[in-house]
Amino acid sequence: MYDLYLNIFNKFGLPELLAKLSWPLFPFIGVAVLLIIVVLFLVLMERKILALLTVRKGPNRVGPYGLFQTIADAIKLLIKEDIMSCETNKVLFTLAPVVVFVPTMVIYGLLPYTSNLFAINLAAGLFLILAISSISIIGLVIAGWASNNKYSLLGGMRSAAQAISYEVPFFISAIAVAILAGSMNMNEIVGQQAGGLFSWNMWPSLVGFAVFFICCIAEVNRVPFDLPEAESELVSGYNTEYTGMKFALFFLAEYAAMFIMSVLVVTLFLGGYTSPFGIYISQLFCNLVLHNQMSLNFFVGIEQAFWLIFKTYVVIFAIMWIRATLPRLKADQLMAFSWKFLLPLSLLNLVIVTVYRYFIPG
Amino acid sequence: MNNILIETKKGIIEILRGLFTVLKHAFRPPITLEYPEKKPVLNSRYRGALALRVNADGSDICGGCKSCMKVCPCGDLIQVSTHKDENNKLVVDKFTVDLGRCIFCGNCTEVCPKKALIMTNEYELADFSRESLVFDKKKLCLTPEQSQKWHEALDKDIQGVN
Repeated sequence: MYDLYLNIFNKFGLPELLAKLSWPLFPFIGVAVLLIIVVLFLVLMERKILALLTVRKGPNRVGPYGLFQTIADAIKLLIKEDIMSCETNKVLFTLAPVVVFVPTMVIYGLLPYTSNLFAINLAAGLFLILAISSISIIGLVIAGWASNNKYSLLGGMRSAAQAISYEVPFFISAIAVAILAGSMNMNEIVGQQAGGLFSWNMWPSLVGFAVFFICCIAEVNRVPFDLPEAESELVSGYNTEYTGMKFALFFLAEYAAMFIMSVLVVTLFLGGYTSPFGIYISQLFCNLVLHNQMSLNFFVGIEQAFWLIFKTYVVIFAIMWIRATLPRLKADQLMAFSWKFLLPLSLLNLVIVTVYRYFIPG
Repeated sequence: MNNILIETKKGIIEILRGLFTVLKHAFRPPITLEYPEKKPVLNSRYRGALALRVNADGSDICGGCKSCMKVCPCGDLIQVSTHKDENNKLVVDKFTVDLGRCIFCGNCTEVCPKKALIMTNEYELADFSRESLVFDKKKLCLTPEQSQKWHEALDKDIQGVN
Protein backbone atom coordinates (compact mmCIF):
# COMPACT_ATOMS: atom_id res chain seq x y z
CA MET A 1 0.00 0.00 0.00
CA TYR A 2 2.77 2.41 0.94
CA ASP A 3 4.59 1.70 -2.34
CA LEU A 4 1.44 2.53 -4.27
CA TYR A 5 1.11 5.76 -2.35
CA LEU A 6 4.76 6.62 -3.04
CA ASN A 7 4.25 5.90 -6.75
CA ILE A 8 1.40 8.41 -6.90
CA PHE A 9 3.67 11.05 -5.38
CA ASN A 10 6.46 10.24 -7.82
CA LYS A 11 4.10 10.48 -10.79
CA PHE A 12 3.06 14.01 -9.87
CA GLY A 13 6.63 15.05 -9.11
CA LEU A 14 6.06 15.70 -5.43
CA PRO A 15 8.90 15.23 -2.92
CA GLU A 16 9.19 11.86 -1.22
CA LEU A 17 9.42 13.50 2.18
CA LEU A 18 5.84 14.74 1.82
CA ALA A 19 4.66 11.18 1.21
CA LYS A 20 6.58 9.96 4.23
CA LEU A 21 5.07 12.66 6.42
CA SER A 22 1.51 12.32 5.17
CA TRP A 23 1.36 8.50 5.16
CA PRO A 24 0.61 8.17 8.93
CA LEU A 25 -2.32 10.53 8.40
CA PHE A 26 -4.41 7.75 6.85
CA PRO A 27 -4.63 5.47 9.87
CA PHE A 28 -5.36 8.60 11.88
CA ILE A 29 -8.22 9.57 9.58
CA GLY A 30 -9.46 5.99 9.73
CA VAL A 31 -9.43 6.03 13.51
CA ALA A 32 -11.17 9.41 13.63
CA VAL A 33 -13.93 8.28 11.28
CA LEU A 34 -14.34 4.98 13.13
CA LEU A 35 -14.54 6.82 16.44
CA ILE A 36 -17.21 9.24 15.27
CA ILE A 37 -19.31 6.49 13.67
CA VAL A 38 -19.01 4.30 16.76
CA VAL A 39 -19.99 7.12 19.09
CA LEU A 40 -22.91 8.31 16.96
CA PHE A 41 -24.50 4.90 17.03
CA LEU A 42 -23.48 4.18 20.62
CA VAL A 43 -25.50 7.19 21.78
CA LEU A 44 -28.47 5.94 19.80
CA MET A 45 -27.97 2.41 21.13
CA GLU A 46 -27.91 3.68 24.69
CA ARG A 47 -31.12 5.61 24.22
CA LYS A 48 -32.79 2.66 22.53
CA ILE A 49 -31.70 0.16 25.18
CA LEU A 50 -32.69 2.44 28.06
CA ALA A 51 -36.05 2.86 26.37
CA LEU A 52 -36.40 -0.89 25.97
CA LEU A 53 -35.60 -1.53 29.63
CA THR A 54 -37.87 1.22 30.91
CA VAL A 55 -40.81 0.12 28.71
CA ARG A 56 -40.62 3.09 26.33
CA LYS A 57 -40.05 3.39 22.59
CA GLY A 58 -37.00 5.65 22.39
CA PRO A 59 -36.12 7.92 19.47
CA ASN A 60 -38.07 6.87 16.37
CA ARG A 61 -38.78 10.11 14.50
CA VAL A 62 -35.61 10.96 12.54
CA GLY A 63 -35.04 8.41 9.80
CA PRO A 64 -36.03 4.73 9.91
CA TYR A 65 -36.28 3.58 13.57
CA GLY A 66 -34.70 6.90 14.57
CA LEU A 67 -31.33 5.90 13.11
CA PHE A 68 -30.36 9.47 12.21
CA GLN A 69 -31.32 10.96 15.58
CA THR A 70 -27.75 11.45 16.81
CA ILE A 71 -26.67 12.84 13.44
CA ALA A 72 -29.40 15.45 13.77
CA ASP A 73 -28.29 16.15 17.35
CA ALA A 74 -24.67 16.52 16.24
CA ILE A 75 -25.65 19.01 13.52
CA LYS A 76 -27.65 20.94 16.10
CA LEU A 77 -24.64 21.06 18.45
CA LEU A 78 -22.33 22.16 15.62
CA ILE A 79 -24.45 25.17 14.66
CA LYS A 80 -25.04 26.29 18.26
CA GLU A 81 -23.45 29.45 19.62
CA ASP A 82 -20.19 28.95 21.51
CA ILE A 83 -20.78 30.75 24.81
CA MET A 84 -18.00 31.62 27.26
CA SER A 85 -18.88 33.51 30.40
CA CYS A 86 -16.72 36.59 30.93
CA GLU A 87 -14.49 35.46 33.82
CA THR A 88 -13.54 32.03 32.50
CA ASN A 89 -9.94 31.25 31.72
CA LYS A 90 -10.38 31.22 27.94
CA VAL A 91 -7.24 29.25 27.08
CA LEU A 92 -7.84 26.46 29.59
CA PHE A 93 -11.56 26.45 28.85
CA THR A 94 -10.85 25.71 25.20
CA LEU A 95 -8.02 23.31 25.98
CA ALA A 96 -10.01 21.10 28.37
CA PRO A 97 -12.23 19.28 25.83
CA VAL A 98 -9.15 18.66 23.68
CA VAL A 99 -7.24 17.17 26.63
CA VAL A 100 -10.21 14.92 27.35
CA PHE A 101 -10.74 13.90 23.75
CA VAL A 102 -7.23 13.30 22.40
CA PRO A 103 -6.14 10.47 24.76
CA THR A 104 -9.28 8.49 23.94
CA MET A 105 -8.50 8.92 20.28
CA VAL A 106 -4.91 7.76 20.75
CA ILE A 107 -6.01 4.57 22.51
CA TYR A 108 -8.09 3.59 19.48
CA GLY A 109 -4.83 3.21 17.60
CA LEU A 110 -3.33 0.91 20.25
CA LEU A 111 -6.06 -1.70 20.35
CA PRO A 112 -5.79 -4.92 18.32
CA TYR A 113 -8.94 -5.39 16.23
CA THR A 114 -7.85 -8.58 14.44
CA SER A 115 -4.57 -10.47 14.39
CA ASN A 116 -3.48 -8.29 11.45
CA LEU A 117 -5.43 -5.09 11.97
CA PHE A 118 -3.75 -2.81 14.48
CA ALA A 119 -2.01 0.52 14.14
CA ILE A 120 0.93 -0.04 16.50
CA ASN A 121 2.04 -3.34 18.03
CA LEU A 122 3.92 -2.21 21.10
CA ALA A 123 5.76 -4.51 23.51
CA ALA A 124 4.22 -2.61 26.44
CA GLY A 125 0.88 -1.83 24.81
CA LEU A 126 -1.18 -2.54 27.91
CA PHE A 127 1.03 -0.23 29.97
CA LEU A 128 0.68 2.57 27.45
CA ILE A 129 -3.10 2.17 27.19
CA LEU A 130 -3.50 2.33 30.96
CA ALA A 131 -1.15 5.32 31.18
CA ILE A 132 -2.90 7.27 28.42
CA SER A 133 -6.39 6.49 29.69
CA SER A 134 -5.70 8.38 32.91
CA ILE A 135 -4.64 11.57 31.11
CA SER A 136 -8.20 12.52 30.21
CA ILE A 137 -8.99 12.97 33.92
CA ILE A 138 -6.68 16.01 33.89
CA GLY A 139 -8.92 17.45 31.19
CA LEU A 140 -11.95 17.08 33.42
CA VAL A 141 -10.19 18.89 36.27
CA ILE A 142 -9.09 21.67 33.90
CA ALA A 143 -12.67 21.97 32.64
CA GLY A 144 -13.97 22.23 36.19
CA TRP A 145 -11.43 24.84 37.17
CA ALA A 146 -11.60 26.97 34.01
CA SER A 147 -15.40 27.19 34.04
CA ASN A 148 -15.40 29.63 36.99
CA ASN A 149 -18.43 27.82 38.42
CA LYS A 150 -18.60 26.12 41.80
CA TYR A 151 -20.61 23.17 40.49
CA SER A 152 -18.16 22.58 37.66
CA LEU A 153 -15.24 22.77 40.07
CA LEU A 154 -16.90 20.25 42.41
CA GLY A 155 -17.52 17.96 39.45
CA GLY A 156 -13.91 18.23 38.35
CA MET A 157 -12.58 17.57 41.85
CA ARG A 158 -14.89 14.61 42.28
CA SER A 159 -13.76 13.12 38.99
CA ALA A 160 -10.12 13.48 40.03
CA ALA A 161 -10.76 11.84 43.40
CA GLN A 162 -12.74 9.06 41.79
CA ALA A 163 -10.17 8.42 39.09
CA ILE A 164 -7.30 8.24 41.56
CA SER A 165 -9.09 5.77 43.81
CA TYR A 166 -10.41 3.54 41.05
CA GLU A 167 -7.22 3.46 39.02
CA VAL A 168 -5.40 1.50 41.73
CA PRO A 169 -7.57 -1.67 41.64
CA PHE A 170 -8.01 -1.13 37.89
CA PHE A 171 -4.27 -1.36 37.26
CA ILE A 172 -3.70 -4.20 39.74
CA SER A 173 -6.36 -6.35 38.09
CA ALA A 174 -4.82 -5.53 34.69
CA ILE A 175 -1.41 -6.63 36.02
CA ALA A 176 -2.96 -10.03 36.78
CA VAL A 177 -3.67 -10.38 33.08
CA ALA A 178 -0.11 -9.43 32.21
CA ILE A 179 1.08 -12.18 34.59
CA LEU A 180 -1.23 -14.71 32.96
CA ALA A 181 -0.02 -13.81 29.47
CA GLY A 182 3.59 -13.28 30.50
CA SER A 183 3.57 -10.18 28.32
CA MET A 184 2.21 -6.67 28.09
CA ASN A 185 1.78 -6.85 24.33
CA MET A 186 -1.92 -6.72 23.52
CA ASN A 187 -1.62 -9.21 20.66
CA GLU A 188 0.18 -11.72 22.85
CA ILE A 189 -2.41 -11.32 25.58
CA VAL A 190 -5.10 -12.17 23.05
CA GLY A 191 -3.09 -14.96 21.46
CA GLN A 192 -2.58 -16.63 24.83
CA GLN A 193 -6.38 -16.84 25.21
CA ALA A 194 -6.95 -18.53 21.84
CA GLY A 195 -8.56 -21.92 22.32
CA GLY A 196 -12.16 -21.28 23.13
CA LEU A 197 -14.35 -20.17 25.95
CA PHE A 198 -12.48 -21.99 28.73
CA SER A 199 -9.03 -20.62 27.98
CA TRP A 200 -10.15 -17.03 28.48
CA ASN A 201 -8.41 -15.05 31.23
CA MET A 202 -11.81 -14.57 32.81
CA TRP A 203 -11.69 -18.00 34.53
CA PRO A 204 -8.34 -17.93 36.38
CA SER A 205 -8.91 -14.31 37.42
CA LEU A 206 -12.67 -14.22 37.86
CA VAL A 207 -12.39 -11.81 40.79
CA GLY A 208 -10.06 -9.65 38.74
CA PHE A 209 -12.58 -9.61 35.91
CA ALA A 210 -15.32 -8.37 38.24
CA VAL A 211 -13.03 -5.72 39.76
CA PHE A 212 -11.82 -4.61 36.33
CA PHE A 213 -15.36 -4.33 34.99
CA ILE A 214 -16.52 -2.27 37.98
CA CYS A 215 -13.47 -0.02 37.71
CA CYS A 216 -14.10 0.43 33.97
CA ILE A 217 -17.57 1.75 34.72
CA ALA A 218 -16.09 4.08 37.34
CA GLU A 219 -13.32 5.22 34.98
CA VAL A 220 -15.75 6.33 32.29
CA ASN A 221 -17.95 8.06 34.90
CA ARG A 222 -21.11 6.14 34.23
CA VAL A 223 -24.01 5.20 36.49
CA PRO A 224 -23.69 4.11 39.33
CA PHE A 225 -20.37 5.97 39.56
CA ASP A 226 -21.38 9.14 37.70
CA LEU A 227 -20.74 11.52 40.60
CA PRO A 228 -18.61 13.95 38.54
CA GLU A 229 -21.58 14.69 36.32
CA ALA A 230 -24.45 14.05 38.68
CA GLU A 231 -27.28 15.88 36.95
CA SER A 232 -29.44 16.22 40.03
CA GLU A 233 -26.74 17.57 42.36
CA LEU A 234 -24.09 19.25 40.24
CA VAL A 235 -26.05 20.37 37.17
CA SER A 236 -24.03 17.90 35.06
CA GLY A 237 -20.74 18.77 36.76
CA TYR A 238 -17.69 19.82 34.79
CA ASN A 239 -19.59 20.44 31.55
CA THR A 240 -22.19 22.83 32.97
CA GLU A 241 -20.67 25.88 31.26
CA TYR A 242 -19.94 24.20 27.96
CA THR A 243 -22.03 24.67 24.85
CA GLY A 244 -21.93 23.71 21.21
CA MET A 245 -19.02 21.77 19.83
CA LYS A 246 -16.98 21.84 23.06
CA PHE A 247 -19.82 20.11 24.87
CA ALA A 248 -20.10 17.67 21.97
CA LEU A 249 -16.40 16.84 22.37
CA PHE A 250 -16.95 15.92 26.03
CA PHE A 251 -19.91 13.84 25.03
CA LEU A 252 -17.96 12.17 22.24
CA ALA A 253 -15.04 11.45 24.55
CA GLU A 254 -17.31 9.87 27.16
CA TYR A 255 -18.86 7.42 24.74
CA ALA A 256 -15.56 6.78 22.97
CA ALA A 257 -14.05 5.95 26.37
CA MET A 258 -16.92 3.59 27.07
CA PHE A 259 -16.23 1.78 23.80
CA ILE A 260 -12.51 1.60 24.57
CA MET A 261 -13.10 0.23 28.05
CA SER A 262 -15.42 -2.42 26.64
CA VAL A 263 -12.82 -3.41 24.05
CA LEU A 264 -10.25 -3.52 26.85
CA VAL A 265 -12.44 -5.79 28.98
CA VAL A 266 -12.94 -8.07 25.98
CA THR A 267 -9.26 -8.06 25.04
CA LEU A 268 -7.94 -8.70 28.53
CA PHE A 269 -10.54 -11.09 29.91
CA LEU A 270 -12.91 -12.35 27.22
CA GLY A 271 -10.48 -13.59 24.61
CA GLY A 272 -10.35 -10.48 22.42
CA TYR A 273 -10.83 -11.29 18.76
CA THR A 274 -10.54 -15.06 19.18
CA SER A 275 -13.52 -17.30 18.61
CA PRO A 276 -15.30 -18.67 21.69
CA PHE A 277 -15.47 -22.10 20.02
CA GLY A 278 -11.71 -22.56 19.82
CA ILE A 279 -11.57 -22.77 16.03
CA TYR A 280 -12.78 -20.22 13.54
CA ILE A 281 -15.93 -21.15 11.66
CA SER A 282 -14.51 -19.60 8.50
CA GLN A 283 -11.40 -21.78 8.86
CA LEU A 284 -13.59 -24.87 8.95
CA PHE A 285 -15.58 -23.58 6.02
CA CYS A 286 -12.46 -22.78 3.95
CA ASN A 287 -10.88 -26.16 4.63
CA LEU A 288 -14.02 -28.01 3.62
CA VAL A 289 -15.22 -25.92 0.67
CA LEU A 290 -12.78 -23.40 -0.73
CA HIS A 291 -9.25 -24.88 -0.28
CA ASN A 292 -7.75 -21.42 -0.75
CA GLN A 293 -5.17 -19.95 1.63
CA MET A 294 -5.64 -16.35 0.45
CA SER A 295 -9.38 -16.29 1.02
CA LEU A 296 -8.87 -18.12 4.33
CA ASN A 297 -6.86 -15.26 5.75
CA PHE A 298 -9.43 -12.79 4.52
CA PHE A 299 -12.38 -14.62 6.04
CA VAL A 300 -10.59 -15.29 9.32
CA GLY A 301 -9.83 -11.58 9.58
CA ILE A 302 -13.48 -10.73 9.10
CA GLU A 303 -14.54 -13.34 11.63
CA GLN A 304 -12.05 -12.08 14.20
CA ALA A 305 -13.39 -8.54 13.78
CA PHE A 306 -16.91 -9.91 14.12
CA TRP A 307 -16.13 -11.70 17.40
CA LEU A 308 -14.42 -8.63 18.83
CA ILE A 309 -17.32 -6.35 17.93
CA PHE A 310 -19.90 -8.88 19.13
CA LYS A 311 -18.24 -9.34 22.51
CA THR A 312 -17.67 -5.60 22.85
CA TYR A 313 -21.33 -4.86 22.29
CA VAL A 314 -22.33 -7.52 24.81
CA VAL A 315 -20.15 -5.74 27.38
CA ILE A 316 -21.58 -2.35 26.36
CA PHE A 317 -25.07 -3.77 26.77
CA ALA A 318 -24.13 -4.93 30.26
CA ILE A 319 -22.92 -1.41 31.12
CA MET A 320 -26.15 0.11 29.84
CA TRP A 321 -28.18 -2.53 31.65
CA ILE A 322 -26.43 -1.58 34.90
CA ARG A 323 -27.18 2.07 34.16
CA ALA A 324 -30.86 1.27 33.81
CA THR A 325 -30.88 -0.60 37.13
CA LEU A 326 -28.64 0.88 39.79
CA PRO A 327 -28.91 4.24 41.57
CA ARG A 328 -25.94 6.57 42.08
CA LEU A 329 -23.56 6.02 45.01
CA LYS A 330 -22.77 8.68 47.59
CA ALA A 331 -19.27 10.19 47.47
CA ASP A 332 -18.13 8.50 50.71
CA GLN A 333 -19.60 5.14 49.63
CA LEU A 334 -17.75 5.51 46.34
CA MET A 335 -14.40 6.02 48.05
CA ALA A 336 -15.00 3.33 50.67
CA PHE A 337 -16.03 0.83 48.00
CA SER A 338 -12.83 1.40 46.08
CA TRP A 339 -10.31 1.48 48.93
CA LYS A 340 -11.86 -0.98 51.37
CA PHE A 341 -13.37 -3.48 48.99
CA LEU A 342 -11.99 -3.42 45.44
CA LEU A 343 -8.34 -2.87 46.35
CA PRO A 344 -8.09 -5.89 48.72
CA LEU A 345 -10.02 -7.98 46.21
CA SER A 346 -7.70 -7.06 43.36
CA LEU A 347 -4.65 -7.87 45.52
CA LEU A 348 -6.22 -11.22 46.44
CA ASN A 349 -6.80 -11.83 42.74
CA LEU A 350 -3.16 -11.02 42.02
CA VAL A 351 -2.09 -13.66 44.53
CA ILE A 352 -4.52 -16.26 43.10
CA VAL A 353 -3.32 -15.60 39.56
CA THR A 354 0.34 -15.74 40.54
CA VAL A 355 -0.13 -19.07 42.31
CA TYR A 356 -2.15 -20.38 39.37
CA ARG A 357 0.57 -19.37 36.90
CA TYR A 358 3.26 -20.90 39.12
CA PHE A 359 1.62 -24.33 39.18
CA ILE A 360 0.06 -24.28 35.68
CA PRO A 361 2.55 -22.49 33.39
CA GLY A 362 0.98 -21.10 30.22
CA MET B 1 -14.53 -11.28 58.13
CA ASN B 2 -17.40 -13.74 58.01
CA ASN B 3 -19.82 -10.85 58.32
CA ILE B 4 -18.29 -9.10 55.30
CA LEU B 5 -18.64 -12.25 53.21
CA ILE B 6 -22.30 -12.65 54.12
CA GLU B 7 -22.99 -8.98 53.40
CA THR B 8 -21.19 -9.20 50.07
CA LYS B 9 -23.12 -12.29 49.06
CA LYS B 10 -26.39 -10.61 50.02
CA GLY B 11 -25.47 -7.48 48.07
CA ILE B 12 -24.54 -9.40 44.94
CA ILE B 13 -27.78 -11.39 45.05
CA GLU B 14 -29.84 -8.22 45.50
CA ILE B 15 -28.09 -6.47 42.60
CA LEU B 16 -28.60 -9.50 40.35
CA ARG B 17 -32.27 -9.61 41.30
CA GLY B 18 -32.58 -5.94 40.39
CA LEU B 19 -30.81 -6.50 37.09
CA PHE B 20 -33.11 -9.35 36.11
CA THR B 21 -36.21 -7.41 37.12
CA VAL B 22 -35.08 -4.67 34.75
CA LEU B 23 -34.32 -7.18 32.01
CA LYS B 24 -37.81 -8.64 32.32
CA HIS B 25 -39.18 -5.25 31.35
CA ALA B 26 -37.50 -5.50 27.96
CA PHE B 27 -40.07 -8.08 26.92
CA ARG B 28 -43.06 -5.90 27.71
CA PRO B 29 -44.78 -3.92 24.96
CA PRO B 30 -43.86 -0.23 25.33
CA ILE B 31 -46.33 1.97 27.18
CA THR B 32 -45.47 4.97 24.97
CA LEU B 33 -48.41 6.34 22.99
CA GLU B 34 -47.24 8.03 19.79
CA TYR B 35 -49.73 10.83 20.35
CA PRO B 36 -50.49 12.69 17.13
CA GLU B 37 -50.77 9.42 15.22
CA LYS B 38 -52.48 7.35 17.89
CA LYS B 39 -55.05 8.76 20.27
CA PRO B 40 -55.74 7.56 23.79
CA VAL B 41 -59.00 5.70 24.49
CA LEU B 42 -60.95 7.90 26.87
CA ASN B 43 -63.77 7.16 29.25
CA SER B 44 -67.06 8.92 28.56
CA ARG B 45 -66.73 10.60 31.97
CA TYR B 46 -63.61 12.40 30.70
CA ARG B 47 -63.92 16.14 31.26
CA GLY B 48 -63.30 17.59 27.82
CA ALA B 49 -64.86 20.52 25.99
CA LEU B 50 -68.39 21.54 26.96
CA ALA B 51 -71.22 20.86 24.51
CA LEU B 52 -74.99 21.19 24.34
CA ARG B 53 -77.19 18.22 23.54
CA VAL B 54 -80.18 18.69 21.26
CA ASN B 55 -83.41 16.77 20.69
CA ALA B 56 -83.85 14.34 17.83
CA ASP B 57 -85.54 17.09 15.73
CA GLY B 58 -82.70 19.51 16.40
CA SER B 59 -84.47 21.74 18.96
CA ASP B 60 -82.75 22.74 22.19
CA ILE B 61 -82.99 20.55 25.28
CA CYS B 62 -81.67 23.42 27.38
CA GLY B 63 -84.51 25.13 29.17
CA GLY B 64 -82.61 28.31 30.04
CA CYS B 65 -82.66 27.84 33.82
CA LYS B 66 -79.20 29.45 34.13
CA SER B 67 -78.10 27.03 36.87
CA CYS B 68 -74.81 26.50 35.07
CA MET B 69 -74.23 30.25 35.06
CA LYS B 70 -74.73 30.46 38.82
CA VAL B 71 -72.68 27.43 39.76
CA CYS B 72 -69.65 28.27 37.64
CA PRO B 73 -66.64 28.99 39.92
CA CYS B 74 -64.93 31.13 37.25
CA GLY B 75 -67.43 34.00 37.30
CA ASP B 76 -69.07 35.04 34.03
CA LEU B 77 -67.59 32.27 31.95
CA ILE B 78 -70.97 30.88 30.86
CA GLN B 79 -73.38 33.50 29.59
CA VAL B 80 -77.02 32.62 28.92
CA SER B 81 -79.73 35.03 27.87
CA THR B 82 -83.33 33.98 27.40
CA HIS B 83 -86.74 35.37 26.53
CA LYS B 84 -90.25 33.98 27.09
CA ASP B 85 -92.25 32.83 24.10
CA GLU B 86 -96.06 32.98 23.68
CA ASN B 87 -96.55 29.80 25.82
CA ASN B 88 -94.59 31.41 28.68
CA LYS B 89 -91.69 28.99 28.12
CA LEU B 90 -88.06 30.10 28.21
CA VAL B 91 -86.23 30.17 24.90
CA VAL B 92 -82.45 30.38 24.85
CA ASP B 93 -81.21 33.23 22.66
CA LYS B 94 -77.55 33.24 23.50
CA PHE B 95 -75.38 30.56 25.14
CA THR B 96 -71.63 31.31 25.17
CA VAL B 97 -68.87 29.50 27.01
CA ASP B 98 -65.37 30.98 27.26
CA LEU B 99 -63.34 27.76 27.19
CA GLY B 100 -60.11 29.75 27.49
CA ARG B 101 -61.02 30.45 31.13
CA CYS B 102 -62.82 27.17 31.87
CA ILE B 103 -61.17 25.00 34.54
CA PHE B 104 -63.11 21.89 33.43
CA CYS B 105 -64.48 21.26 36.92
CA GLY B 106 -67.75 19.88 35.54
CA ASN B 107 -70.01 21.67 38.04
CA CYS B 108 -72.21 23.05 35.27
CA THR B 109 -72.85 19.57 33.84
CA GLU B 110 -73.60 18.14 37.28
CA VAL B 111 -76.16 20.84 38.00
CA CYS B 112 -77.91 20.81 34.61
CA PRO B 113 -81.47 19.54 35.33
CA LYS B 114 -82.07 18.22 31.79
CA LYS B 115 -78.52 16.97 31.20
CA ALA B 116 -78.37 19.34 28.24
CA LEU B 117 -74.89 20.68 28.98
CA ILE B 118 -72.37 17.82 28.87
CA MET B 119 -68.62 17.34 28.71
CA THR B 120 -67.33 15.57 25.62
CA ASN B 121 -64.07 13.73 25.01
CA GLU B 122 -62.74 16.57 22.89
CA TYR B 123 -59.41 17.77 24.34
CA GLU B 124 -57.55 19.21 21.35
CA LEU B 125 -58.72 22.75 21.98
CA ALA B 126 -55.59 24.78 21.24
CA ASP B 127 -56.20 27.81 19.05
CA PHE B 128 -54.46 30.95 17.92
CA SER B 129 -56.58 33.57 19.70
CA ARG B 130 -58.56 34.00 22.89
CA GLU B 131 -61.60 35.10 20.88
CA SER B 132 -61.85 31.82 19.03
CA LEU B 133 -62.01 29.95 22.34
CA VAL B 134 -65.33 31.68 23.17
CA PHE B 135 -67.81 29.06 21.97
CA ASP B 136 -71.25 30.34 20.99
CA LYS B 137 -74.42 28.29 20.82
CA LYS B 138 -73.83 27.25 17.23
CA LYS B 139 -70.40 25.83 18.07
CA LEU B 140 -71.58 24.18 21.29
CA CYS B 141 -74.59 22.32 19.86
CA LEU B 142 -74.02 18.71 18.89
CA THR B 143 -75.83 16.97 16.04
CA PRO B 144 -78.91 14.91 17.04
CA GLU B 145 -77.02 11.65 16.45
CA GLN B 146 -74.12 12.69 18.63
CA SER B 147 -76.56 13.87 21.29
CA GLN B 148 -78.18 10.46 21.34
CA LYS B 149 -74.77 8.76 21.56
CA TRP B 150 -73.69 10.91 24.49
CA HIS B 151 -77.05 10.43 26.19
CA GLU B 152 -76.58 6.66 26.12
CA ALA B 153 -72.95 6.85 27.23
CA LEU B 154 -73.72 9.11 30.17
CA ASP B 155 -76.70 7.00 31.20
CA LYS B 156 -74.45 3.98 31.32
CA ASP B 157 -71.97 5.88 33.49
CA ILE B 158 -74.65 6.97 35.94
CA GLN B 159 -75.84 3.38 36.27
CA GLY B 160 -72.26 2.26 36.77
CA VAL B 161 -71.67 4.80 39.54
CA ASN B 162 -74.86 3.96 41.40
